[in-house]
Amino acid sequence: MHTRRAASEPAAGDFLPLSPAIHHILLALADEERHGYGIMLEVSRLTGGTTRMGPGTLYGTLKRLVAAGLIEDAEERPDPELDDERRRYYRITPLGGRVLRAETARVAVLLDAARAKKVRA
Amino acid sequence: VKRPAAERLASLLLRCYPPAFRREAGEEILQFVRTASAGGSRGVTRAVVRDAIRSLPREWLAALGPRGRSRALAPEPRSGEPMRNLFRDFILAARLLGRSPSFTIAAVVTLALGIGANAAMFTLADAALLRPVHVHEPDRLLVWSWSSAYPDYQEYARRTDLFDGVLAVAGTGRVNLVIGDTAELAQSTFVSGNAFDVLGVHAARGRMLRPTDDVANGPLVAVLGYDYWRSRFEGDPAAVGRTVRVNGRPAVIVGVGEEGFRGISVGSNPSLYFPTGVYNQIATGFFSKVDALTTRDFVWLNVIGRLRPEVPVGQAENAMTETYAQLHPRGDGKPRERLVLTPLSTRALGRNAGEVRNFVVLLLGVVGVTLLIGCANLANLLLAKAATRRREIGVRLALGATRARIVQQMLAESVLLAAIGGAAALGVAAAALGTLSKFQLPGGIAIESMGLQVNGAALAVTCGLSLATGLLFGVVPALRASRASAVTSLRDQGHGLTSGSGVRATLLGAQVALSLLLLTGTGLFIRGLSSALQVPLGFDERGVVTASVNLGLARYDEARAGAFFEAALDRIRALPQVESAAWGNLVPTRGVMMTQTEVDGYAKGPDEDVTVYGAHVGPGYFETVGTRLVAGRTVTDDDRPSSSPVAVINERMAGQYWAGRNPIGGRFRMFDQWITVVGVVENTIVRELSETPVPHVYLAFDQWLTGRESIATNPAHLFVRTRIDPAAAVPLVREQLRAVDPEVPMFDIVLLAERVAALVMPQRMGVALFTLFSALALALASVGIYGVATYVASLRAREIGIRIALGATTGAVRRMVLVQGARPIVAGILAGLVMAIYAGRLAEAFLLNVSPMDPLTFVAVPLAIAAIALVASYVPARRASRIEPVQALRDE
Repeated sequence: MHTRRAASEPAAGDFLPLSPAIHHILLALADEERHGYGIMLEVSRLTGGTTRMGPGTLYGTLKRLVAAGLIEDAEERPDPELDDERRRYYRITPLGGRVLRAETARVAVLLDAARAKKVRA
Repeated sequence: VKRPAAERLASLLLRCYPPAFRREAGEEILQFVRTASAGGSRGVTRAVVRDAIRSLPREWLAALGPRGRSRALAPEPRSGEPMRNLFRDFILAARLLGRSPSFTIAAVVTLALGIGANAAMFTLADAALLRPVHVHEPDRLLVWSWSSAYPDYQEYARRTDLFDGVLAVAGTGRVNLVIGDTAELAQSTFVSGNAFDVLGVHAARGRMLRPTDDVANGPLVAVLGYDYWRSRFEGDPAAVGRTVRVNGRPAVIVGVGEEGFRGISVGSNPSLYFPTGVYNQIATGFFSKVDALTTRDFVWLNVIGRLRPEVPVGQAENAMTETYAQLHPRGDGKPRERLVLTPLSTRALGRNAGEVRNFVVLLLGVVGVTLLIGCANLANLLLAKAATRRREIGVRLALGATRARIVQQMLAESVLLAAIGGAAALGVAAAALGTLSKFQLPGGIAIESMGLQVNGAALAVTCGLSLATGLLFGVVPALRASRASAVTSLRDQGHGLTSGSGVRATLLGAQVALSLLLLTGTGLFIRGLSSALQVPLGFDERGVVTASVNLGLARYDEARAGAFFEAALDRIRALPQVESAAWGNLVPTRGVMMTQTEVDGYAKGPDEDVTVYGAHVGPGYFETVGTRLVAGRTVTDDDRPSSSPVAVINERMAGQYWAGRNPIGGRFRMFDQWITVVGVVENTIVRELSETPVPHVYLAFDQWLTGRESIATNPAHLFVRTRIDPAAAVPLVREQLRAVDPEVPMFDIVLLAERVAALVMPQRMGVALFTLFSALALALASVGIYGVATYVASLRAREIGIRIALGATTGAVRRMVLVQGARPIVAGILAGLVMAIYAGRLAEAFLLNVSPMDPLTFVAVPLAIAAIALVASYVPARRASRIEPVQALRDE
């Protein structure tokens, strides 16, 4: 007989570095629950309009993030600003929050180092 | 409510995603697109497409590949890396293939044979069925069902309200062509001046014929066929403008036809095209006296019209039938035969279009089935390989490889295999076309004359098919096997593999079914051939040489011709190697002239025409070709021009027109003379083996060398029965004829046996190809049966060990393994029988007296397959029954 490995929560560092798409989505969900279209709008706003995620890419990534436990489904509800259709909302999980903070720290270290060397954007 | 374009597009694209993804995210994606395009679809459509291209492969990989969260979120590989990896993958793939040479050789040979044979056959099918004539819009070109005289053709051509153009073309014939100082016989034809315009055929060099060339006794001009220009003039542009001599008259070459244009019937490919107006300048013998352009009795042209798009075929048929009726009023006022207009693409295949079609489809079927068997076999090989590679994949996953990398690497292997197979297939296809060129299609169409070249599209499609096979059966199972997790694939090797055995059994069943199909074809064709060889020919072709001359082409007159025939016969008969010799103007198996006649004492019906086949034969003809005399006498030296005309008839003629009377001494009227029947001979084959005997008269050759119906300057054939090998006698005959007059064009010095062989060509070709491919299929199938039986037995080794330990006898274990393995084989045999019954109908025309459901074949073939299967699965069964229980249990 083989013993099953005990299910334990993975460490936030396991996920680093994040792909840009994942990083963007986690950032978009950092402050509030959003639906898919809302995430796209927020990512677009955060990146100054340089990144527009297509629906296939977006929902594929969302599905994988849910599977990995970084985000989760919130309840379905209509978006008053758009229309009356019911939409599925997503929110970041505690693990997702830790991963985002870890990634931010990683990027911050790099950013500081770059600034120390007078590298400008 | 109409949905915006972007949303409709998105819902269409959504169908391309894996079903699970569609279920989970489909509605949200549509919602997303709907929201995004609320302000108008502009830009959104493009974004949706770009997004789909990017995310589709990812989602399919995720659906098929192993699951694991860390890999799922791994960053995309940096750009630049894929190319380097790809190169490495090919190197690795080559190394892996080199490490298992038996697998590689088996796969490459299977692919090369399958792809090559298919590319070759598709090339043939394309040339014969899809594009038989190289003309503009062949669909609108319709051929008159009857031949026409020149003045009639001119009447048809007036109807520009029905046709965009109407052209006339004569059958092909040989001319004596002198280029510089070398003489040769060339195939030529006559066409109306507008022919190339109507066909839409352009000049490769110079110009094509024009209406202004086509005037009675106009200047003698000619256009060369492209292939002839390439072979005879080596593609020299200076050929245009040269003057050559055609049957002794100077003719100017004004142009070269378009590349790929090979005349309007498959297999003819004329070397020269002349305008119809110069017919009388070129024609020889009897035909030089006919006024070909004005008489309505000389019917020598095929008429082809390019139908106006808006005109229904029926309307044109009615109008042309009406025109013909006005030109040829008939006293009794009865309706005439109605004209039928047939598309040129059908008529181009000649009288036997249906047979050609069936035959080519049959050949395509044979090679297609072989390719399927090959793919099934390859699939089995790859499945076995995938099972063993599961462990390797597990290791690589555990070491951190992404599934994308693994798939890419396995893809490289499949692509490499298909590429090597495809390259080898090019050679196979070229060789196959070379072999095919030696054969003829039904109706005597020489495949060589079709100028076949390996068809790139066919090669690409078959390569793609094998690549798909490689991917489907090589990559997918490997991925599935590795899907659970890296750890389980490393842990054990026994379970989980059994799921593949269902696929393998199905593949095996399919292979058995297809092999049975091919083997049935082989059986049917062998039976058809032996039946064809038993058809009584009415002559004995063994040991007979035929040589053909045309004195008209050498501008002989009747007196000189008579002297030539006599001198040649004397010389040949004097040879010690020759048993007998005779002149005649028929060639057995090539058909002969048909003539209307009137039989003395035979009361014909009100509408009956007595039409018989006729030929002229000299003394000794029947003895030389070995046709049996049934009654009376044959033609002798006493039948001189001065004596009253005599004839020998065949049994069919005697039976039909002298029923209950003695035909000997009877008379019939032909060419305005009463001819006395002096003998009756057995029926002979006139054109093809399947024909029913036709009434036939044989006039005395020497009695028709002068006068209005003289045959002296028409083609004539010398028949020589030799005492030695007839092939060795061919140069002797040639030498003697040259000795009489070196300037007489001689052609077709061949063995009569070769002509007979051409009759059974389709059957022989069928036997050869079916035997080859079914042997291949059987070999592949038995390897497959053996492999699957071994594999299944090894999976159950533990169970068998327990059974033996519990007291199962050796015999019981063998029976169990055999019965287990028999299921797909029995299923395959049944499925194969059903397919064979359907496919047998295609072969019906070539089987003569054999039924397409020939009981012998349909019993023998399944038995043979079952026997082979039994042998192939007995070895693994015996091995399984010798398993040491302890050993089998310890392995686990």
